[in-house]
Amino acid sequence: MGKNLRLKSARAMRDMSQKDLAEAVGVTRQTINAIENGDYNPSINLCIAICKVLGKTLDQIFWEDNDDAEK
Amino acid sequence: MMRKNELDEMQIQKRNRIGYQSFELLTCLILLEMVLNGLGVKWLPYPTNIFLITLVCNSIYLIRVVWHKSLAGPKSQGKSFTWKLIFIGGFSALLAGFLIFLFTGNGLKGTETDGDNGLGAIILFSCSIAALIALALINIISKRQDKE
Repeated sequence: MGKNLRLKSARAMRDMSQKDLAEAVGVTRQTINAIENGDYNPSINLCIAICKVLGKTLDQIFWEDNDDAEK
Repeated sequence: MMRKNELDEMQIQKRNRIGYQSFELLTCLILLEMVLNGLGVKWLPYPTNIFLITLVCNSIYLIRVVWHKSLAGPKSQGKSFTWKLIFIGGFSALLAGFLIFLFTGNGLKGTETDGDNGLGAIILFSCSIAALIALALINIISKRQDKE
């Protein structure tokens, strides 16, 4: 599983730190860090919560194209 | 809506995995102890040997859970760690004192099963102190990691 750079950039666009996002969705900062680094596969509920906070769709943040998956 | 006062999903996943591994370790160590006992190797009297094995596995479980930040949920992580340490230390000291009082000539004097007068209490107390030191070190490391 590759790094989720789209989550990182969406978070940066909203000017949010990992801690801010973590507090907004009710998880630890380590969990957000693990998702961004591709070390943890979040549940669909957590994905939806993250997308709602960032104002994006699931496709925009979590859908992996073949090119992304190979990274 | 996710509840902030509990562990998040990654913490639960990690804690469950660590718990499973610790339980497997406990089973293996008790089995090993049984084999050694059968071969005539008696390193500690019963039930202190089983107690010590359980205590070691429990300590490993706790240390690993703290190391992976899966002991407290997202909301409670900002709370002071010092009070927890004081509480655990005080409770351990009280329990150890009570056990020493019970097994060294006051409460259960003269029973045939207590061949390890005060040993269990000393083990409990020393293991608690070791666990507290480990927890304090892990807390310091975690704070440094958070700052980075």
